[in-house]
Amino acid sequence: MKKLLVLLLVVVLVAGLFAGCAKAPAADAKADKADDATKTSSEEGAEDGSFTVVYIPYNTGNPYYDPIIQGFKDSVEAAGGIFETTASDTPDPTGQIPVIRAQIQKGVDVIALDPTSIDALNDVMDEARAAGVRMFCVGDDVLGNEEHREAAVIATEYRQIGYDSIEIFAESMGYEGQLAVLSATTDSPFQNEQIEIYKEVLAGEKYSNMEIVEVFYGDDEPEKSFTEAEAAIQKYPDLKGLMCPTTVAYVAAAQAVENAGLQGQVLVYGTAFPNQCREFIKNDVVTGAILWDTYRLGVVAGEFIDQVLHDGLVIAEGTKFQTSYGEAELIENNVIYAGPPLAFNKDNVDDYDF
Amino acid sequence: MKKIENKSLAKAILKPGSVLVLFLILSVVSGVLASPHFLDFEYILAAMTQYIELGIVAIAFTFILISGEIDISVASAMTLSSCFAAILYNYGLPMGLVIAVTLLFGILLGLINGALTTFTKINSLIITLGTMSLYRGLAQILIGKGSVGDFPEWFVGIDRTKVFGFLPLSIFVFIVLIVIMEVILKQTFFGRKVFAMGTNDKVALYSGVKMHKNKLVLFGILGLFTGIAGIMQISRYGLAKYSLGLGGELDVITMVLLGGTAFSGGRGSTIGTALAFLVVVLIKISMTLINMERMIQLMIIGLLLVVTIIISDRLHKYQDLNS
Repeated sequence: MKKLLVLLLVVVLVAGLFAGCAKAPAADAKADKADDATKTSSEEGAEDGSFTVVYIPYNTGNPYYDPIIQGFKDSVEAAGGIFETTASDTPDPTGQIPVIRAQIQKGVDVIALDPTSIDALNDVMDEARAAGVRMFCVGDDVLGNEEHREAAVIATEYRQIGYDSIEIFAESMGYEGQLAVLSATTDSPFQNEQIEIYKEVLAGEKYSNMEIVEVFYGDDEPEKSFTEAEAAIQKYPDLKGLMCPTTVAYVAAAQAVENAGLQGQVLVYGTAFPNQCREFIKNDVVTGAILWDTYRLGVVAGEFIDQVLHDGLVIAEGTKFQTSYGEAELIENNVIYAGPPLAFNKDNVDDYDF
Repeated sequence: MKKIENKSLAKAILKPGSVLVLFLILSVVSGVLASPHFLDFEYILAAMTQYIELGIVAIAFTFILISGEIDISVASAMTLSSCFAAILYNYGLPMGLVIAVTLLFGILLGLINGALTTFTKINSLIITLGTMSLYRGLAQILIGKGSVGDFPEWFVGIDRTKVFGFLPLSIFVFIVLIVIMEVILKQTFFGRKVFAMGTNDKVALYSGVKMHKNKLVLFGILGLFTGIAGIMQISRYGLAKYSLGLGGELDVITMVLLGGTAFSGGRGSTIGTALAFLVVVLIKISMTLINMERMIQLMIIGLLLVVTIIISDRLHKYQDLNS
């Protein structure tokens, strides 16, 4: 009887392991089939091979990436490629590096990375390129270390977002009062650049009655961002505003303000999806939010990569190319802006759905 | 006659050790099935270095568990040592001295657990449950919310320095430690005392084993190993962060139990732990190669742990009944 039980348990575990792995053989078979199909049509002249693109965002379970992933997937598959996405569960270079290495090992054609650090990834990016993998940054860029990646596709000009958002926010605060920043991780490039811009703008005379009292870090985790927001409200009783350059922190801050019943007293602004901020705008907890078209970012990235791989698109400053949204251009350091910033408020938030 | 023969065959196969062999085979098979890129020796060695610190901690953890105690603060202690070392270095101490002081610091962390356990007579599981949070919290106080790095060139990259041309230095250290500790465990009087303490503490006491002193020594050794692991950790990452190795105690416990060490003490070997380390690492590598979601990976390791405990326990009882 006991022997039987033991054998049964072993079978269950084996079944579990195989169930988890069953996905992979199917995917590999599909890749092989695609290769065979395109090999026969290569006489047409066009270099249409099947190619694998892996997108590695900051972390898993972050809803911000869903529209980007969808857009990226749609454009890569439309070009005949295979799209995969994977990430570590912590938005950290220590988590991202092993994930990138696994993709190199798998021999993917393209790695599109949203870098969690400006410099910690230099070595692994070089490793990838030495192994023949195309390396692009999609979402954020490795400022100061651009030579380690081939090009970067950014959603919009982030510096513009910084200037626009702090101005909109300062105006709603009446150009006076204490504000705190609720950011992501201490290393995240986008948020750090935004904070620099806030400080730069607030140093001006017009804003002399405003002060950033502290920067809190929510690590892009909903629960942690929420507790940090509450801590900010507790620690600074005169706090008038919470500026959140990340969608996770924005939602957490708005919830914290609403829970504490402080809407109108503590103003919240920052980056958020229209679907995230709609309720808060309707309940007068916030005046709005600012972001960019994330789906568009994914589409432009996919279309750019396809043209680089198959249409001989030259990666150099000044090169222009066509996307589903019109013309795009590579500017300094081979950066591409996928589109303009989008500011949401009571009047236009219902026009968007993402 | 036939019935006895069948029983012998069954007894030979259904040893607790055979579970380990079975899992080793399964982990290789599932890896090969999962991805054609799995069977790359160089890649496996490189990927293994990510987990080697936990493996080193698992070696000393084996001793503690055999002796009848447990220490679930190990991952926190390891990271606290990492952060301690980073702060010391950034205060201006030369790296060589930092390493020495950090090892002493690791021993201290272990001795604190040992002292609290032996003198309050509270179960070590409860004590180390507390120190697990205490040490992690201290790490955050020391280092803050960010990361501290900037270590000297010669210190960083222990996983990329190769010995004999192909073996990462950190894996070499691991192998050396396994051999040393296995010899101590199986060939020395001290090792026998460790088994005695775990088998029956009253008998051990009356046989002249100084329980308190020896337990303190064991906790101190475990602390030393977490210190070693902490230093290797910051060499690999090139930075220290309070959140490093979060949840590592789950992996350590899984490796030690899978390796044949009984949860109740009195049984175990570091070779078993080392093989179990291999199993866990191979499974993790194959899960990463197929882009398996992190949460599902966690679930599978948890499943592995639960099944291991149940099967090991059953097999030990079966062996005891039939010997």
